[in-house]
Amino acid sequence: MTQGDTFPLNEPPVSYAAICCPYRDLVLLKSVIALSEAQGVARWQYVQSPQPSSSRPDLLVIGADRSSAQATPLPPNLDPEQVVLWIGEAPTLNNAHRVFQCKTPLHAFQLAEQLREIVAAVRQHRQRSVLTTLPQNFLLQEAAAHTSLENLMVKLLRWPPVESFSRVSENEDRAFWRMASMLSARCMTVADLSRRTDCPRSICLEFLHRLSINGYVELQSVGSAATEQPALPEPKTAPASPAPGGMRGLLRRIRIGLGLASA
Amino acid sequence: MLEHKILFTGTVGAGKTTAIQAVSEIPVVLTDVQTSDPSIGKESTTVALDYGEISLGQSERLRLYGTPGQERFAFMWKVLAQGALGLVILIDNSRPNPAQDLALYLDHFQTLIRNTACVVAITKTDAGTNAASLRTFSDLMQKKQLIYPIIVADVRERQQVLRILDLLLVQMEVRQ
Repeated sequence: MTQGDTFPLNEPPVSYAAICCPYRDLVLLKSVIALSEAQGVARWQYVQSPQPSSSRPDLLVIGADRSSAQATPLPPNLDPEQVVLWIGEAPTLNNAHRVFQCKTPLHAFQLAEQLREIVAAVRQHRQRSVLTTLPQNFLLQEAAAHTSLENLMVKLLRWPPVESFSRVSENEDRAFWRMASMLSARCMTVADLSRRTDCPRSICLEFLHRLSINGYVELQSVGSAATEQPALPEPKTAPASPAPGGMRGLLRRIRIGLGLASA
Repeated sequence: MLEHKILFTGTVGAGKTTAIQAVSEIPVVLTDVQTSDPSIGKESTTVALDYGEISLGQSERLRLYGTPGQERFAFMWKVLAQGALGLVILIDNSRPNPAQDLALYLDHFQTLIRNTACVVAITKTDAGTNAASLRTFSDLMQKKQLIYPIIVADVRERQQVLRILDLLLVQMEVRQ
C-alpha cells in the first residue's frame, strides 16, 4: 500500500456484508478493513447481513464456510452488479460478475491488495450508475457531437452559481467544483478535464452542458483558443525557497501533508 | 528548512484564525488584542498575523498566515503576500456590504492572485442567504475580469477548509 492516499472528500462509505465467514476470517477481514480506512484508501461501513437488493451493500464477502445454514447467493443467483469478494476457491462465473478472490488460509496482505481493487471497482460502478440518470436526449446529443467536442477548448466566462453543482452524489459534486476550479485557471479540452479529474468524459460533458446552456462557458476550436489564451505569466511573487521536484513536486507534498493526496 | 506560504485574508470576524486552526498541525500562534471598537463585534482581533503550519517533511513546511482584517493594517498585507503560493479570501456574509468587502481584498491582492491562485470562501451564511445574493460576488469578479472559485464554507469544519485548499491547489496544478 502507498502512503498518503486519501479517500475523496464527502465520498459515501463502501458498505460491506459478510456471509459464511468463520469467526477468525471475519475478525481478520474487519481488522484489515479498519487498517485500509486508517490508511485513507476508503471509508467503510459494515452492514449486519445482506439486505434485500433494494439496499444491497457495495461489497459482499462470501466466506469459506459454505456448509453453514446461511443462504448463499451462489450462481446463478448471484447479482451480476454485486461486487463480491470470494474467499476460497471461486466458482466459474461469466464476465458479467465482478468477483474478487482470496485464497485460503486468508492472509492480511492478500486481503489488503484485494480491498484496493475492490474500492476501485465500487467507485467505477458508482460513476457508471450516474449515466443512467442522465437525460437520454443529452446522451444522444453527446454521441452525435462526439467528434466535434474532442476538438473544442472550453473557456469559463464567470464562476457558475451553486445550483450548477448539485448532483446525484457528493462525489460528483466535488468533481464539478474541481472542474470549475481548473477552468478558472486556464482553458482546456474535455479530454484534459476528464484526465485531470479522473472522471468519465460523459460526466465532464454533463457538467459543461449545464454551464453552456446558462452561458457560463464558451467553446472554441483548439487552434483559435491557443492564440487567445493568455500566456501564463512568470510569477512575480515566487516561492521563498526553491522546492525539490519543482512546483509539481511541492504541490504533491502539500497535498500529502494536508491529506488530499488522492485528489 | 524549506518554507512555503499560503495566505488567509478577509474581513474581521470572517474566520481566518478559525480556518487556520482547523488545519494547522501546531496550535495557532495568535497576535490578538482586546478590541476597543464595539462595531467589530468581537472581544479580540488580530493585530499582526496568525500563524499555523503543516509539515511537508523533515526539512520542509507550509506556513499558513492569517492577515489582520482591518484595513488600517493593509500595509502588512503587501508584506505578507510576498512569496505566497496562493490566497484564501474569507468574506463574512453577515456584514452590511460583503461584496464591497470582497472588492477591497481583490484590489489589494490583485498582483498576488493574478500570478498564483485564489479561492473566495463566504462564511456566516444562513437561511437568509440565497443563490441570488451569492451571485453578486461572481458579478463583482466578472466586472473586474477575474474568475476564481467562490464557495460557501463553515471554516469551523476541517473538511470544509480542506475543500478550500483543494480548490486552491487545483488551480496551481493546472498552471504547471
